[in-house]
Amino acid sequence: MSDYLRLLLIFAVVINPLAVRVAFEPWRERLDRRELPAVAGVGAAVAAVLLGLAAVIAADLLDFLDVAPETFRIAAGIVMATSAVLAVWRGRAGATLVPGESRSWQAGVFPLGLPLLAGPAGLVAAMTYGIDDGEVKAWAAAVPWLAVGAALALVELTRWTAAADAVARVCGALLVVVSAGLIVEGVRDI
Amino acid sequence: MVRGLLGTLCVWLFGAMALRAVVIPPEQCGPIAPTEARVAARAAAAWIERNQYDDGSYVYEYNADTNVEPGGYNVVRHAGVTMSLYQLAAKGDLSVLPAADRGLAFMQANLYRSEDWAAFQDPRGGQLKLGASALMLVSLEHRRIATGDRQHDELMREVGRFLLELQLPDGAFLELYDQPSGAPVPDRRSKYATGEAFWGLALLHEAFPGEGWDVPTKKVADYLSLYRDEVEDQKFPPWADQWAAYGLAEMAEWPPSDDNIAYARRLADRFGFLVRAESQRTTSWWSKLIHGRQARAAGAGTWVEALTSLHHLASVDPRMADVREELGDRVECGAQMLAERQVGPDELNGYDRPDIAEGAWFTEGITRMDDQQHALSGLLLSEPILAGRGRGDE
Repeated sequence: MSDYLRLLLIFAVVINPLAVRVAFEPWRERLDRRELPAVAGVGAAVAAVLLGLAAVIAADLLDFLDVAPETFRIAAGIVMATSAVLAVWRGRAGATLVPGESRSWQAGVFPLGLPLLAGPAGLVAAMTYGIDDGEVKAWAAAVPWLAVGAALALVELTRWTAAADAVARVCGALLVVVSAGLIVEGVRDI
Repeated sequence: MVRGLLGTLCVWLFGAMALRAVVIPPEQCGPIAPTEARVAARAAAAWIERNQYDDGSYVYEYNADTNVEPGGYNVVRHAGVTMSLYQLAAKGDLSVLPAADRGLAFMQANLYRSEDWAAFQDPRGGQLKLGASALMLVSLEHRRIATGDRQHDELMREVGRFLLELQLPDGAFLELYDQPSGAPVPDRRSKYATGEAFWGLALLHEAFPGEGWDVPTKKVADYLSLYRDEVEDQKFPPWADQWAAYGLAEMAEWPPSDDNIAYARRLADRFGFLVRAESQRTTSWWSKLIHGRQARAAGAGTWVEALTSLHHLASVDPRMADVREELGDRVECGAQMLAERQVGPDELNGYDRPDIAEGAWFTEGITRMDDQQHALSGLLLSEPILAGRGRGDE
């Protein structure tokens, strides 16, 4: 398996587009359907910029914080494991988010862009894989799933809600495995 | 939107701070110049010289809080401390030879001879321990390298043959030889002594190539690489064995087998992690609560010794070349920590015995002779690596 394909699979469970979609449902219900494309576009763009930024500044940030990339892997694994457990438990991304005042494109910034698409797990994954595999490769592996997650915001779940919930939980379970692997790698690396 | 964003960022900030405080505190890894490492190593050697008794033994332990030497002695550590002095001599500092030779004389005065072998016998209990003789052999080998003096060549062979008395068919070693029954004590192994014997035998082959010392050396290398952790029930394998790392480095040009290299890589991972974790520890109450107290120099020093050995292996063997740079990073971090934690000449206020404090490493008020031994060895062997990394002396 190529490095890029491996990263693509990892970011599929890190971003977990179906968990994002399920979590976004309360906002989506309050939005005018004609606004959804703009919301989805803004959400994907915000998340792509944030993940790209995380990947680019990761090395310098860790250097500033006096943390070795190997040690950061342990922290990244813990953050990702927390998100994974939430996804398994609730079948959706993020902590409890109460639908608020975000209207129109603003819902693309919050909550779709941040924290649903660009959540803690995605940001630390962009950092750690950005350092290990290169910023561009990591970012390029994340972007397709950001696009999928944003595109799903345009789709009615209706009778597929239960299926989306189930797949989101399975992705969460897979993320538990990925994050455990990252922690072990952080402990075992030089 | 703004309220939601701010709320989310506040939660993240709290989470990041918790992570920083618990999992990723800063790693205290500053740069260190080669000369600083050498000066610290020399100061440790000076501690050993100052604290040697007339019979060649050393101050074993000192409690600075109570100003008491609790007593006790350990012949394996005696051999190790003497060995560290000879390591320094082998790197060109012959000024330590008188003290090292006194340490050797103590071992020679307590030799047990039987047929064609000789062993360093514990003068207190009369025990013949593998580790004590193995490190005596390593001492003799470094003395030979330092001086070119061949007067102890036959003794080296005799001690080597004692090691072989304790070797099992699978390459493993038993820890003790039972003098009255004239046989090794069965089923008693040491997680330290096997690696010590491995290194001693590897050096013996280097000193006397063609005499067949490489055969038992390779057998123990394979035992350590493939079976030791399972047979000896190591809970968190691989056992962090710096002696094995020394031995593997000695074999670098033989060269080691693929299994040996795989083992060396696992050791590199383990020692690298230990240094990273240690570099996050401080003397603050919070750090002690979360990460435990700082390791004693007898521990941290062994990690640096191991990393320097593995760095040598990575410099010679292309199968390890990809980790050479990372190993260098950890060597530098470990050496810097050791040098920083050593009691310097301007830090002696408050010590009742400045002669025992200067150049020493204390943990909770206590220093033991092997603190100085392992730190000396680690710092000494890190010097050329630091120089090679362009850590100039400014």
